[in-house]
Amino acid sequence: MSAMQATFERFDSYDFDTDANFQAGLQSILTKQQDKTTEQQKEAVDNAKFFYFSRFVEAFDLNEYKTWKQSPQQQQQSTSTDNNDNSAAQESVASSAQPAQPAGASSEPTYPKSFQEICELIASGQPIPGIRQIPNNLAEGTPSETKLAPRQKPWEKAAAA
Amino acid sequence: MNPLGPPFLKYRTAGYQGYALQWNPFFEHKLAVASSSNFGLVGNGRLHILNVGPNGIEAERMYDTQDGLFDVCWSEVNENQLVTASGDGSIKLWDTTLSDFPIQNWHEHQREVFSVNWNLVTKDSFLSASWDNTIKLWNQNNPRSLQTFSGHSHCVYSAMWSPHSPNMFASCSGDHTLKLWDTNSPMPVQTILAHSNEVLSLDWNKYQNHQVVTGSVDHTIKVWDLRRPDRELNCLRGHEYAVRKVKCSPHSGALVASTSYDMTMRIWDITTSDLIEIHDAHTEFVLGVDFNLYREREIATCAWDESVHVFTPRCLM
Repeated sequence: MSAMQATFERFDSYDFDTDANFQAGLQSILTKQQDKTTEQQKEAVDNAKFFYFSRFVEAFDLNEYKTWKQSPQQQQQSTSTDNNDNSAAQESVASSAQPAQPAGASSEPTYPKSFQEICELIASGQPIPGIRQIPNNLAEGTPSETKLAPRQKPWEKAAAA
Repeated sequence: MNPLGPPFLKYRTAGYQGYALQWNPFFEHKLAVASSSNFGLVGNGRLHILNVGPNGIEAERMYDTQDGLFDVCWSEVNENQLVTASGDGSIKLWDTTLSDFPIQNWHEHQREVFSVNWNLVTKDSFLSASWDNTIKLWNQNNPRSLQTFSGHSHCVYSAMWSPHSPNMFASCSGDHTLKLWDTNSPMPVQTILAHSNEVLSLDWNKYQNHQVVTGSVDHTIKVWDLRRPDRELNCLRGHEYAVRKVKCSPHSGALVASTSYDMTMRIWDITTSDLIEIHDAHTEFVLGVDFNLYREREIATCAWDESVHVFTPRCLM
């Protein structure tokens, strides 16, 4: 199994419900989505899950994940899990080459509060205040010429001694 | 604080969270710090060039970038120049005699660049490691990368030159492996399944030719003899969360410093596996650490609490 597949399966079985950091962010996203349709709300939650997991647990590409999710094998599995909660997904994690990492709040460090607030803004698609536009220029003027010979490193001195 | 002890200096990278720092290889008082606003998630970056004197730390220059900065590395041939790794996939070369903008800007990586490292032996090239799963080799005078190394199946967090061999480097990745490369070959020379989770950092022992140290999200630090890849020489336990950076002392083959999301910097004796120091003065995740090359007892750290500390650990007094 590819490493990416294992990541996708860990994402599918990640316990977002007991992750305090994620839940804190989700509450504020849902509050802002109150007047949206159920479909839009679900999309916001899915986006937040992807964003959270790929930033703080394991990075992966959303498009690759969606392609994988659409594959016939996965379609079949999702049908069978409909009747059986998500035990199939959990099984596949347990059988993957790498042991599943301990997920959930207990193993995650506590991120600073403003960090959470920024995550919430990003996940809900709101503008982040204070970002400046820096021109993509190169410096004018002539770069410096080397004046000093490289200095011997402590371990090079020790070897020469 | 002990008034008789060596000074404990602090500098605020206000509004920017510290990601990495490095002492200048020519001037022992000069320190470069790579930082990002909004914790590197979104927004600007800032490169700080600092002068560390006996009485305090002063900013010599600051450079602002569109995207967050994740790593910084001084040139080994020009005392004024350094490269940075950026969240937008760009790599910039700066000259501290010029203000505001870089003197070169390379943009080939498809995702975040997480480390840059200058060749310590040939001194004519540097490496970049990216979340696009590749490592690239660069020469500062060349507008394009010289070579791309593919082989990792997940983000590459760090690629570091051997301090002894001109063509040899090691890399570590989210695919849980440590890989050894020779620039003459496009594929890795060796792959070690190093940890049970992502490997965020590695460094070479400067006094033991074949020794590499790794730090992982699994909270541990491992010491490897590359001639014996089947298992680690030792495993250092103590950090409570992910180990973000490991750094071998330039002065001793026994000492390794590490930083962690548990908000501490720790120093270990890898010959005895003893934890010999805990620096817990930071109040958020500690990311960067470096030993001063020429002031043997001085160490610098940076953290998400927007502060840089320069001090002498008790174990080095």
